[in-house]
Amino acid sequence: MLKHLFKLIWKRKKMNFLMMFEIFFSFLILFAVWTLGIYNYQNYARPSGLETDNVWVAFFDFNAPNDTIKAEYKELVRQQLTRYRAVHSFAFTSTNAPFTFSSMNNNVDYNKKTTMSEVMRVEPDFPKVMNMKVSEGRWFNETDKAGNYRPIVITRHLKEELFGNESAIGKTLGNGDGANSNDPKMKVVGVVDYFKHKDDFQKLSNCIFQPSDIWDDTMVMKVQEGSGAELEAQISKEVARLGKDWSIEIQQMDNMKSNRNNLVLVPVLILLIVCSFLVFNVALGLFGVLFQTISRRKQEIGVRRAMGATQGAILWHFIGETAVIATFGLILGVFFAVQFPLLNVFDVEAGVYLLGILMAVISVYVLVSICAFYPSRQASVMQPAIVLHEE
Amino acid sequence: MLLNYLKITLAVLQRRKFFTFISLFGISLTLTILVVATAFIDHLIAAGYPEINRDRSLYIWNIKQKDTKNDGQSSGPISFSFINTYVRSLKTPAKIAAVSMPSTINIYLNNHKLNVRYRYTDSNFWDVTSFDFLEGKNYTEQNIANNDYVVVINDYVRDEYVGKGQPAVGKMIEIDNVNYRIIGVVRGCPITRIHVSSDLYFPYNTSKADLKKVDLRGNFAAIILPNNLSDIPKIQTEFNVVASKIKLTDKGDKWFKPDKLFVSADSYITSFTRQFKGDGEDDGVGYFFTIVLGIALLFMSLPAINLVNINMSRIMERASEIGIRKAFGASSKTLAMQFVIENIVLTLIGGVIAVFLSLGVIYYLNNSNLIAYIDLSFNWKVFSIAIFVSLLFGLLSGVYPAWRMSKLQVVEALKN
Repeated sequence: MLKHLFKLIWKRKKMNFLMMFEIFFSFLILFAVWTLGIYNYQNYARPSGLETDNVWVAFFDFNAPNDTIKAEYKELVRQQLTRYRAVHSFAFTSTNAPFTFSSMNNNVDYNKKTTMSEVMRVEPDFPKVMNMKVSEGRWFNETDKAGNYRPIVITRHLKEELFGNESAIGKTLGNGDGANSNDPKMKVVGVVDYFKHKDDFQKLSNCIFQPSDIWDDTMVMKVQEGSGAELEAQISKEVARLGKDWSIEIQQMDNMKSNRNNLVLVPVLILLIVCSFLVFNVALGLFGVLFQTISRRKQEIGVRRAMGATQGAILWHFIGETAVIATFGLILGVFFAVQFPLLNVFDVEAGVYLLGILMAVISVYVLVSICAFYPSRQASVMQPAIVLHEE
Repeated sequence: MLLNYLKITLAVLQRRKFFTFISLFGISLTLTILVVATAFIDHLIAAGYPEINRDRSLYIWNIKQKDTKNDGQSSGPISFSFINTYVRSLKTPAKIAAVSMPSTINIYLNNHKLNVRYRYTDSNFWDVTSFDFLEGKNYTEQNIANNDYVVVINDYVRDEYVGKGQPAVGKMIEIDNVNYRIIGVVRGCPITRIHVSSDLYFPYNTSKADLKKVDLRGNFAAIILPNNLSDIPKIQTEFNVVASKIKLTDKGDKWFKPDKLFVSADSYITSFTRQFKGDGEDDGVGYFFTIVLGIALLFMSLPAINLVNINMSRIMERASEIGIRKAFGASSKTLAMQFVIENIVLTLIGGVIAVFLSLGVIYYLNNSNLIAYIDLSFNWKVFSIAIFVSLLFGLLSGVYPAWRMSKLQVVEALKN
């Protein structure tokens, strides 16, 4: 039966070539959409490792002439903030605080292995503000500053990249400049499992937390639930009043996060709309063409019925034929699609691509079956006497 | 002859209504998406309120420093002092405006928070742009000399802060603990006018940053409006000479010692395309449009294949007609020509539908608040591109079936 179908299609390959080509193209589009969807969903489903509820981010601009004065200014801010009962905790961070638009990357090396990592400088209270859990070791504290090494906390992804299965605690890292670097070496004191600081769709990534420096003038703070514009106005007014030429802007981290999420979601949504239009277009086209082809093969159907084929057999014959055409298109498509995991384009796990291919193949078959069903049914209810009579 | 083709086309289209529907549906939606995308690109590139002089202006805003030895580079907006020292040294007469990159700030008002964007500009900014002042006027050289704390706001801020339709000029507005007097209210413009859109405009004397600080990099852009169009190349060469004389100072950064500098006075679009392709030499405009065209063709290919497929089915249906015409001596060329024309007529009908659909979409986008103040327009540029794309689409999907048809053997065609 299957051999028969393949033979039929192969004989008419010139006729069916366009349809195969169309299915090939649709497959590629569906593959892209599914892969993108699965990839983003997989990342979305992972825990974020931080909480943004009631977290505010304050951006200070002290216009300070030098670092000593800036350090004094920052101390003034700290004293002021402890006066508010609604502010539970706060920590200065570097400008690349979670969900801001800036980013800071550096090379780190261990045992001749070098990799890129985000570097975030934060004060010891940072995990308290963001409600982060350290899964191994501990977070650094004020007393760590005294040592010869700079204490750091790293994400599990970075730990696995540099140390594999070994424990990371107590290991020292260089900053990618080799032995002749003047910077103090970094010593790992803790590991966090997850830290999604760009958006909810961020993949597992490298991040290093270092103790904060004098020039860090962004701040995260956890406030009382239900605090609104009133507290925000009070804080920014009273803090800005402490110094001349200060500027302060407070943003809700929830809003910042949803802004960043939209940056991922909106393009995906536009792509989805455009692709579903394309696929719908193809489906309508296939439907029309199949209708046409089947109605041109009336005699053949008549003969088949006269020779004893049942209605069901005719129905399945035509759906099967279309499925075989789709298979030819899919073979070509899958050939191209498997190049992605094989060549490791875009640094995505092979499993995501394979699942994408599988879902795209299923989608194409479902689509084609739906398009073929009605024309095939029309074919199956033809009466041999009437169809053959026309001839 | 042409009229004859047209008649046949319409007759054929009416014969198989379902096929006509599928074809037209595909064509018109494909073209609608392309036309709306074109309108959007046109909106991004072309001059528009309040930047109506964009095509006659030059923009300097990005400076790139390169360290060819360590293979590092760093780039960003130019500083206010850069504009004063280098840009304003140009001899060719022109208006030179300085405008900062936008920042955001919160304004608080009775437990209500307003997040607004603001810029610092000089007084020339109001000459190179042409804002509609709903009330009051812009600040002048005199205001800056007097160190006046004044601000120009847009209608959105006025409606939120002062109240809808109420006079705002003369009222005070408190931002970051500093009181500013509202001096003018302008009609707002979309955020897509990257160098001029903002909610608040401050004269640069109110800036808290030290603008006198000598540094190449900063937070400003310069817009140059020459007296006439022919001055543009002159200004560009003059600025290149100025830029080539800029000395790079070692800032003591041991990883980054820049030894090469790229900065140029470009037209609006070039000032962006140079970023992602240009290494100073190549302006990247060609590269940009190749990519846009490539995406459009890629997008069109699937609907085109679909149309080819449908057209093939239709030809087979008309095999007897073709056979008879061939038997009576019609050449393959005539038949192919007829079919291509038929297909172009079909796509043009689809194009007309697409024009109406895109008018609807553009109207919707302009009136919805998806992007505040957006003013997409369906102008002759967009229209001619729509027509061109329709013709291209018609040719793309008509040639192959026509070729197949013209190769049909008379005997084969007449057999049924």
